[in-house]
Amino acid sequence: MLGIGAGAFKVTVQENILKLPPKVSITTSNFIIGLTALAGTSVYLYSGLLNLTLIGPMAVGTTIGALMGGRVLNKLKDRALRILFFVVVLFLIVQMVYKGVMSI
Amino acid sequence: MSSSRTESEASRFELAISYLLIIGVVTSLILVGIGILLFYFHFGQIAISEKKAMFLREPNFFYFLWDLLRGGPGEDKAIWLMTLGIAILILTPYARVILSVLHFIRKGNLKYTLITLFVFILLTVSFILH
Repeated sequence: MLGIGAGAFKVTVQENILKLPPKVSITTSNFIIGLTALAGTSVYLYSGLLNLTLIGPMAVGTTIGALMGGRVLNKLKDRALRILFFVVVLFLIVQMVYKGVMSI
Repeated sequence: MSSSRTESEASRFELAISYLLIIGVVTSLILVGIGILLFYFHFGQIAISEKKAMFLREPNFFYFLWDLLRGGPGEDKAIWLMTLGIAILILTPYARVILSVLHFIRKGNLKYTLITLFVFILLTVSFILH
């Protein structure tokens, strides 16, 4: 639901608790996400949940997205970035609550 | 003089890390890209497959790496290349932590050596456990 690095939560923590500016928290999260995601790798490998036909194209797509995002980020204003991020986090919250309620 | 030397050393270290990350990601993407193309030529499509062979399943990451390298490409080169690319992608940040540990040991910075060593041990343990 959150990806194995939980980037959305990290950005929220960095902004609200560590008081980092949005651009700094997003880029920092991007930089350290590899390390935090690594900790979950063996769990996913053991569970047999890694589908090659899914992660192959995803790896290519997310890298291209990250490269483009880095360029777009510099052009965006902090306020626009906050609103965009709010929409993404709101979507995650709705999705998590929906899945949680439906699985009861 | 000494502060500028420290600064240039720090920027050289940052440059080394950025090169390591770029090389890791680019190598991985090339392998995954070739794997996807071969997969497409072989199966005629790249839709998500629910076949058992498409799922990676190993006791932990080191077993996964060992099995991958010991087994070699075999018959299904596309799947092997994609898996190798993913393994390199996973190893890239791990190598980045090792580089940081070595850098701080060389500089004799005990505080950061211990911090990076802690991260390295944590990651290694997470690779061994599941």
